[in-house]
Amino acid sequence: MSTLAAARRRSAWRVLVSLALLLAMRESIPNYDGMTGPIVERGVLGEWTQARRFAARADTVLTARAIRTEKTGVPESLSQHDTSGVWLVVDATAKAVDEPVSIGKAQILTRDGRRYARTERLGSTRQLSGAELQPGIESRGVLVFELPADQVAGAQLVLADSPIAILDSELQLDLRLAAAPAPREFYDLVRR
Amino acid sequence: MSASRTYRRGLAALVVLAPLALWTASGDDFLEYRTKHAVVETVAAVGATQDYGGSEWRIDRYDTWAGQPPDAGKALTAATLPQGTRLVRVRVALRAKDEAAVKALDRCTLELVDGRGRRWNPGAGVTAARRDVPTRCNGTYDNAPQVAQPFLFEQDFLVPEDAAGDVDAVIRLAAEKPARLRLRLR
Repeated sequence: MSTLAAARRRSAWRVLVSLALLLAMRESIPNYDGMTGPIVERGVLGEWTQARRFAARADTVLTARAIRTEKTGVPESLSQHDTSGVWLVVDATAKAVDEPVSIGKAQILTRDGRRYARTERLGSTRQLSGAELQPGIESRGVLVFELPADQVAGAQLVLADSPIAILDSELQLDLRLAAAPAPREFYDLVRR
Repeated sequence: MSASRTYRRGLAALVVLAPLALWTASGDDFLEYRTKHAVVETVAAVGATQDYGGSEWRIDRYDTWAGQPPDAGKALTAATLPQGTRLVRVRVALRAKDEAAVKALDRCTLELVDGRGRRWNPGAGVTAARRDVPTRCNGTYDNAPQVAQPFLFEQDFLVPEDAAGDVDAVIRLAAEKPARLRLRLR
C-alpha cells in the first residue's frame, strides 16, 4: 500500500513539474511581435547610437507653441503653424554606415507607450528625415513632432531606416525630459 | 542491438537528416538570396577603356578638393564643405555602340566605392551652379549620347577624408544587373 502511495506521489510531482515547465516556457517564449519586431538599440541625448545601417545623435530638444516655416526658395510662402498641443523639436545629427540611407521612421515614444509620427504639416524642409545620409558624413537637421503637452515628459525619440523595421535596428533615444520644458512662443524653422 | 548502439546510429542519422531538413525547408530561399545579392564585377585599370552594357567606358578626369574647388564659377555654390570631408569630382567618357546601348543609359548610376565597401551617391550636400558637361549618363535634352559618338558626364561626391584617396567609380546599368563596372581611380 505504501509503495502505491509513493508511486502516486511521484506521479503527482512529475505532473506538477511538467506543468511548471510548460508555464515557464509559455511565459518565456516571445510573442509574434517580439519575434518579428525591431531590434532596439538604446541611447541618450547627446550621444551617438549605432543602428545597423546608420548612426544618430539627438543634440538638443525644445518645445514651442507655434512654428514658422516656408516652402523651399519661396520667401513669400512664410507661414506660421500653431497646435492644440505643443511642437516638440529635436535637433539631431545622423550618418550612414556603409551605403546611402534615409531615415524612414521618426517617432516619439511616450512614457505610456504611445507613438507620435513626425509631423507632415511642415513638409520636409530642413528635416533630417527627408535627407539622404551618406557613409561617414554627418547630416544635421530637425525632427518635428506634434503631441499633447502632457505627453512630453519622458519622451524618447525613435528612429529607423524603414517604416516597418522587422528584425532590423530601431534606435530609441532618451531625450532626458524628466519634466516637460516650458514651451517657447514660436520656433523659427526658416532661420534656425 | 544495445541501446547505446541505437543512440549512436540515431545521432549519426541526425548529421545527415538535419541539414537535409534545413535544405528542404529553406534551400530555395537561400538560392534566391544568393541570386539577388550576386555581384558580377568587371574591373578596369586606371585610365583603361572597358566595354560594359554595349558602351565603352573610361575615366576622363578625377579631382578631389579639401575645400571649395578653384573653378567655383562652374562648380559648387557650397561656401564650405563640412568638416572632415572632401569633394570628389569624377568625369566619365563613354561611347555607345548601338541604339540599345544608348537606351540602356537611361537607367544608369555612377557611385563611389571604397576599399571597405562603403559607397556614396553623387550630389549629397553639394550644389552644382553651372557645368560644361551633363551630370547624368543619359545627358540632357540638347546634349544626349549618340551612337558611336564620344560623350562626357561628370558628378560630384562628398566623401569623408579617410576615403577620398581610396575610392573607385562604379557604373551600374539596370539592364546589366547584377553585372557592374568598376573604374579604378588610383
